[in-house]
Amino acid sequence: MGPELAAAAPYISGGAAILGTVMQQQAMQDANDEQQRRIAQNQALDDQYQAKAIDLVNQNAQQYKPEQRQQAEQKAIDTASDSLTGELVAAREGQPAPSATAGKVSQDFTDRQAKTSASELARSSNIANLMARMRGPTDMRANEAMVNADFAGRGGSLANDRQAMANAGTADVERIRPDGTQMLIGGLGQSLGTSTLAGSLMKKAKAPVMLGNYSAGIDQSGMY
Amino acid sequence: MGGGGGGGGDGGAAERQAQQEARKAEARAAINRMFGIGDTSDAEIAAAQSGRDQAYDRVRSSVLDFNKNKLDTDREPAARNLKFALLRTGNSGGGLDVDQNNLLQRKYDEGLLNATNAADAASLGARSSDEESRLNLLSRIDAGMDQGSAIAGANNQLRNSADAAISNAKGQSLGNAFDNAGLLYQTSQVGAGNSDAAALYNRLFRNGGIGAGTPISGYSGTTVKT
Repeated sequence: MGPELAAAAPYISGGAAILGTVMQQQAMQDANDEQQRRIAQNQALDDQYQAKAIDLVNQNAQQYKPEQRQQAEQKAIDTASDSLTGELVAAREGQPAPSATAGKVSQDFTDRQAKTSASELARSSNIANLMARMRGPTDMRANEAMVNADFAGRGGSLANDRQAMANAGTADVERIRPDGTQMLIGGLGQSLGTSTLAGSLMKKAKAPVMLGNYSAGIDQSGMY
Repeated sequence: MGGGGGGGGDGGAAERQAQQEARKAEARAAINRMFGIGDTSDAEIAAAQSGRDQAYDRVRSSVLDFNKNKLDTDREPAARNLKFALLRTGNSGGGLDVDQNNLLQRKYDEGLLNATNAADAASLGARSSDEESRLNLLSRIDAGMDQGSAIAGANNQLRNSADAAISNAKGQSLGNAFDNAGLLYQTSQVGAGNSDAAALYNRLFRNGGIGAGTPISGYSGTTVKT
């Protein structure tokens, strides 16, 4: 080793040590950045799930809009009314005419029977409509309950997916480590530089010139 | 100095979970298709929905037919008894005949309305039961059930729920609509029963019996047969 190189060795060693430290710091900084990036990514995904959940609840709530609910109730009443009166009418159509079962009777009897039968059908239809009005709100709520259950199921699935994705995202974040190669090279550089620097300093410490220089500065007169 | 990025956090878990979520979404869609839930422009979904509606109509008509048949069966003796009571009392072909037959019709209509309500309720119950099954299967997919098992379960549930609804409704058949109707033969029967009861009472407790005293005449109030 030439004298120039020997003189520069401490600087090179120190540089290597610093470079190694910087490499390690950089690797850790990169890992930290990556963690922050993944956390933000997970948060964005979680926000999407949250938005979907809110949207789902809002969709579910639409059926409770007064005008929409009124329409739904009227529809349920109409459906019930159609069902009830439809059966009444169908049953009457299937029955023989009153006069056919009465045998030999007066015209007054037949007329009164027909009139009474018609008014009775009107009365029964009226009762059917009243029943439908009573049943309609209950039927509508039964339909609403099924819609609510569907939304609850979808919300449950969404919450399940959200939790599973959050867990997976967290696991990924926790698995982030500083880059192994960079850490190794940095560590080696640091160790090598430190040890080389130490060696150089040791060599310098053993050199006579240094001792001479050191002792030269001491006034030895009158020592003995 | 360029950063090399962190190691280990390659997003593997999230990626695998996303794939799993996609499979779950696919399984949910398959269940919903089977139940006819979704875009009805899809022929498979439309067919499933139509099949479900037919099944509920079948529940309704089965329950209605069952109860209507009972109503018709109960009506026959009521009509026959009324006819004989009208003939016996000389009211056949008169105003009471019209009124009494009208009453019979009224009771029939009331029975029919009850039967229709029961049929509609059974149909709604079957639909509700299917929905419960569908949601149950969807939640099982969330919990990790595979698509094949969920679909097999869905098939069974759909097949069984309609039959269960019919069977349940038949187990709750309606009572005789013509009991307590106040028809002529019933009031005369009640009157006769009350007279018999009064005679028995007089025989036991009044006419030389334990509480002998003034005999009581037959009760002619408005008591109806129960």
